[in-house]
Amino acid sequence: MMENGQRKTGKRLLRIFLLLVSSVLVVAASASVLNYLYMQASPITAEPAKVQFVLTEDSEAAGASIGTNGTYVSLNSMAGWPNATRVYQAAVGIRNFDSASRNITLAFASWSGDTDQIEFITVIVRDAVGGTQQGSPINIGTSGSSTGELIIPAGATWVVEWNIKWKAGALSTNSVSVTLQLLVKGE
Amino acid sequence: MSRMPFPPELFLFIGIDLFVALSLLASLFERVFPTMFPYVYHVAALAGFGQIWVNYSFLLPFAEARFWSCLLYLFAALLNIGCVNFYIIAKKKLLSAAGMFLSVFTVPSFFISLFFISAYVNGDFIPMPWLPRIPIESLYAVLLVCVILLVLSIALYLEPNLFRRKRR
Repeated sequence: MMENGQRKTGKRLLRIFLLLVSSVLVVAASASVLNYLYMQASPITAEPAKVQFVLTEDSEAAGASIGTNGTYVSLNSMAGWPNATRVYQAAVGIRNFDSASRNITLAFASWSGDTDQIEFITVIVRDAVGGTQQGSPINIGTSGSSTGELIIPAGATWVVEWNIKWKAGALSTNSVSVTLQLLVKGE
Repeated sequence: MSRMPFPPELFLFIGIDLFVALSLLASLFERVFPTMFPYVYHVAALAGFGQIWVNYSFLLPFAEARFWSCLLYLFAALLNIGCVNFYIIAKKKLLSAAGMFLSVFTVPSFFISLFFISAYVNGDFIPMPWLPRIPIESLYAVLLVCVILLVLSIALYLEPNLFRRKRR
């Protein structure tokens, strides 16, 4: 009689244990599928850039052409005389289209060409043409050189000033290419 | 732009958990429930897993269909919980056990489900204007009610004539 009772308890415990194991499996499998669904991240949409490059006073002289959506600019007719500084006070503008201020950083990325013939190229961000300098000047050719993090107010347009000086022995055949990065914080 | 606050399969997942919990409860308290109860609920949980897999594999672009199928499954789970609660009261006449079940399982699972549904539909992905947003702060009130109900049920279990005596 006692043996019968023990057998019954054993059976019951085994049944509960099997149900428990099965439950854990079902829930774990469901959770992993749900996890895949979370990682699906759909839809990811494109939206207009909040900070864009815009044309300003010297953009024509600098040969500025803004890319689609204002997230890229090419300056293809800047030049300088040997042993003299050429200044493009507002080669291109940076405009904050957002309704809130934005943190931006303009930084030197790379350069190539006859870099040994360059005395200096500095890029300065100002709040207006000839206005107050924002952050530090960027020394082209110095790795890691940047303006530092700047806060551009909502709706403001800042200008990017280029100062170019070739060495005295530079020839008209010499040229360099420079790439800068504009980093915008937030979405 | 309408946004999906979380995949609707979360409703399915809650439903699966509820069915699994029901199955284990029915297995633990086998004297109260019919023998087949744990297995039936286990199959229901497995069906939920099947549904989640079908959603992931075939219904991914059809957000609305996914939402309604998941909601239906969750409703089925909640309906079963309600029926079990009713079964304990009406068929088994176990008032204290029904009170405990209500406070520990039925009310929390209904509230949590309602909270998630409300959070989902008020993200306006699938608008349901008649369902207001349920603030998370209301959780405290609901839990308090559950605790009071649980205490009353335990008191009733320990002293079955408690309320009868009070009525006199």
